[in-house]
Amino acid sequence: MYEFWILITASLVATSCALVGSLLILRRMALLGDAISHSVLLGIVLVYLIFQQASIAWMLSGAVLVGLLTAWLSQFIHQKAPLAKDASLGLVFTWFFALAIVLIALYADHVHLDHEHVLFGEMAFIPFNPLIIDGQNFGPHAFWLAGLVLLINLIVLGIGYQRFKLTSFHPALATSLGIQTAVWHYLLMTLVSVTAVASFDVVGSILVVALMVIPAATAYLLAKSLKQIMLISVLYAQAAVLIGFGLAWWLDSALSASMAVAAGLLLLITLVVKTITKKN
Amino acid sequence: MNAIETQRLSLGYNQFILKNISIQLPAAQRIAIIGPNGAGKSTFLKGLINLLPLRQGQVRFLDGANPAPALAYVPQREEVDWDFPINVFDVVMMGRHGQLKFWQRPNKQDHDLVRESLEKVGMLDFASRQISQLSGGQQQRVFIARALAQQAPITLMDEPFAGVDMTTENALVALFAELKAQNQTLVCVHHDLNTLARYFDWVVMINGGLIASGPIHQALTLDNLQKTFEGRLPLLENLQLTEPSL
Amino acid sequence: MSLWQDANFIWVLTGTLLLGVSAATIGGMAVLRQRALIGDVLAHAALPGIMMAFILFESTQPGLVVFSALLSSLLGYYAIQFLTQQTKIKTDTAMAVVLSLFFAVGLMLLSFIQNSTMENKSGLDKLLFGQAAAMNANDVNWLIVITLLALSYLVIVFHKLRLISFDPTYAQSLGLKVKRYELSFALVLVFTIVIGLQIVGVILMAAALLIPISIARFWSQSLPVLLWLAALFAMISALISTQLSMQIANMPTGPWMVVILGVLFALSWALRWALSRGWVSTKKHAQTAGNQADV
Repeated sequence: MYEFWILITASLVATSCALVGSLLILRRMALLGDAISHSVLLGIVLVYLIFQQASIAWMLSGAVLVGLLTAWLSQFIHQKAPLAKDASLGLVFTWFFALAIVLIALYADHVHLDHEHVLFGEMAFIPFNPLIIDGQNFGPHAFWLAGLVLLINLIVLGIGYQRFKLTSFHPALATSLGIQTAVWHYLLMTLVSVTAVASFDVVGSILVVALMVIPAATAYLLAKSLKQIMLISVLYAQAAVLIGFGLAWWLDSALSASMAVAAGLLLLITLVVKTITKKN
Repeated sequence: MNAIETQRLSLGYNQFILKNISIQLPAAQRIAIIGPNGAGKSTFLKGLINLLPLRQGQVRFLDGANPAPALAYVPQREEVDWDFPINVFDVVMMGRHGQLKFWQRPNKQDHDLVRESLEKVGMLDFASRQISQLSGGQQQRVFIARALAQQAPITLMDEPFAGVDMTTENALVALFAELKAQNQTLVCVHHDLNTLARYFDWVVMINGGLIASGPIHQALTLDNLQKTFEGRLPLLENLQLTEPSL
Repeated sequence: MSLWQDANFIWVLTGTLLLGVSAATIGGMAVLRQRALIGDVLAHAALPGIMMAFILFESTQPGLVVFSALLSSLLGYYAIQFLTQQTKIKTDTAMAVVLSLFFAVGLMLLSFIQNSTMENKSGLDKLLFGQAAAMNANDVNWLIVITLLALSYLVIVFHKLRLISFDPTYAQSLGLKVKRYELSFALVLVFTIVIGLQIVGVILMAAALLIPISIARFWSQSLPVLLWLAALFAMISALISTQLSMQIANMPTGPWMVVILGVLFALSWALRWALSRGWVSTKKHAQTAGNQADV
């Protein structure tokens, strides 16, 4: 059971990451995804500090707020201050992240987080933190969060698929058709934020982006349509979870980092195979 | 004397945009390069100064003068970030940095040359102005001053008249005449067919390859224009009206 | 006050100030090239090299750390170039892939080391968030040498770097060896990042590179003045964060430095805004800003 809960939770998280990651790289916003996955930590810490506990609903809303603030503020600074886009993004997310770390260090007694958790996640402890309602054990907390977030992702992406596709491939055309590109942009940022929260316990704050961009980038090399990119990147993400699990067991290394490295290995193999088949 | 001479010159980035250009451009002339969008006009200028990854064929400057002369280059204004924190004087001084080794600093002579170049384009009063505070025409004049500061016998300009005010345009036309009188060669990518004959002496028409090259009154024929623009020239009839020399 | 009599504190402070200055100036040049986040990637990419070197040699000697970090950062630099030039992967994706992948490899090796029986491994996790207090005299000596090298490089080739940043095509048309300058600048940037890892940490190194110059841009339009101001802001944040880091146990330096820089940014912006609205109408302010622009 122990391994089962870890694998299934990691797999749910990796699926969410691969889905939003596909859209992020198509929209050339991989670095914005990186930024949000960092700054979401501030949302989590603030929720811990203010409400002393982490209910799923509060965590999600705190993270969404901070995630959207990151996207909006970096745009705002870029427009109002003499700063390039990437510089204002870097400024916002490093500041949010640094503030979160400082708060964790200052209020270590109130926040059940430490640097290790931020970096590696607590994948190995997932099964030890169950969701208990009326004294009944419903399985790990992280599993339900990951499941919920995947459901949110599937529903939103399912309903808005055509719009996301149009606004990603041809934003100018979308605008001329009267589509509110900004709405879809911030909707995607919301998805990135909730995905980052669900991933936080599993892979930590910083490796989220590895699961978002690496499988999606690999799929981008092979796929010919958005649907294919999403499908292939989900498959790659599942493979990365399994291989990473094996790597961690073999080398006695952190699960989260091993899964990210496995995703990288798959990218490498894909590149090599692609080069060889191209030559023949 | 020929300022620029190319033999079977082919240029491009990933693939060739211009092919087999063999051309002889006389010195001390004002030369315009015309052609439709995407014809390879900017590519031609960039190829002459070796800014492109793909280049085949031969280029010779000033009948193969030894050492090969430096060429001054005026890129399109949009290619740089005008919010960059620098003032007019320092931008023009960049023209002197081709001759300076990395440890060398500009001396008094370099400073004088920069002031002289600014004077020629009427921008000396703006020397300490930040470039972000300049109008489009002033930006263009600064770029041309920078090229003048190079003191090169041949100057290549990519659309010097694009988006500039009348004052600047007149100043540039006067400057071009002055440069010609000093035996300098100018090669400009030019868009406006109406001013072509007034501003330039020689025309080069390209569209993926060379269509025609010669003195304006010989080369600027209806036939050549149609070959160059392939019917993408709605103002052709107007042009004939304004250019009786045709 | 007793801190100031502590010889170790003076050492650490010297190191932090030097680093702040070189990160702010070298990073400032990178920001002006519209490459603000390349430093972020290179800092993350340094991690696996350091961990690998530790596994191979079981040592955290500064020379070894610098060399191994340099190797793996440069590998990351070329990985980005490879992905963008040889595949259809776009620049931002390539940067995110390299950043997260190299960092993951570094973390994986770090967890491997922590679960192993190797000795002397205590300092390694400090590289992530930085701990200025953990520096010793040997580290500081390295820092001094590299900082001086980086700053003299900047002073010597300043004009060429500025030219290439402003207008690379023109620089090439002048016959400058643009590629060579770019590579040398990348090397100096990586050196600066690597020596900063102990103080600021891998994760927030980007902020030390890009925030100081961003603050300075509110106050001047002249590049030399901007760089001086950036260095000044970096020194202020270094001074405060080092004190905090040494007074409070287990307090990392990097996050504090970044928080302080962020506050300076917000204050500068607010003050500039108030000045432009005439809310704070001390003529003195306007004049100093004007004078700076003329320098």
